[in-house]
Amino acid sequence: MKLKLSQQNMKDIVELSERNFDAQVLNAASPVLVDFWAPWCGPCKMQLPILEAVAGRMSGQAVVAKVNVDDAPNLAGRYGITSIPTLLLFKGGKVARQFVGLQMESALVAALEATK
Amino acid sequence: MTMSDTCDMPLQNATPDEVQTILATAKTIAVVGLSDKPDRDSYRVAAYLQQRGYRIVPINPNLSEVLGEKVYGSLRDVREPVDIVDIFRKPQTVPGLVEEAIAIGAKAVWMQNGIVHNAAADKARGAGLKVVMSRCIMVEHRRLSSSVP
Repeated sequence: MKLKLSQQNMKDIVELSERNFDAQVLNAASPVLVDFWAPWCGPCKMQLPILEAVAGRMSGQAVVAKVNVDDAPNLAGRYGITSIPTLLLFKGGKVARQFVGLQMESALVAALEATK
Repeated sequence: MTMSDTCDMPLQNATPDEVQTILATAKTIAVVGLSDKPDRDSYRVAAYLQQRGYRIVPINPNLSEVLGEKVYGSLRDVREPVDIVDIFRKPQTVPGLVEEAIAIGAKAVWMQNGIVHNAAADKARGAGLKVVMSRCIMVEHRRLSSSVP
């Protein structure tokens, strides 16, 4: 049951690339929380299950997405990402909030609630 | 000691063309922190590079021979030209290794996945070395294998 729930939540995190970023984030109707991460980054791995929980709680109200900075260096450069995880909260195509470092579920949900 | 909750990103990295040139022109690669355990990344990467024709110079103060090559305690002990210094050590060791890489006339410093030190990278570039950060040299070589040795 636990595994099933986890897999369900995994689907709620949208994988972004340099190709689909603008369409999925900048043109999105709802707020989008984007996690800039890398597979070699320990804190990023700790952030992922927290994001899955956030995605589950905010389902239908906001989009939670992630960008692997190794695969998308131009996006990381565009947003001046110097350390990861960095989370950007987009609303109407603009960055509304920025979080650097590992973030708690409650802080992210509160930010998304405030941005709706 | 508390774990940092962020990882540094490379502020400037070698371009794909520079990576290709580094790999295509290198003959000798010093592998810093090479393990003698076949399941470790450093061993797998060094074995791959050796199979692809590069000369491997292992650097590890605790070993004497790996992959049929004599192991040196530090880069400064190496008495042959080194093209690439490939680093498998923690980021905080990078500044000292960059100093040594410059001292022995290496042409490039390569930091493996997750290893980033922007200040040391600046120093290396200032001394004329190419710098690759947070990339696996084996992955990059495989990706470019049609155009490099």
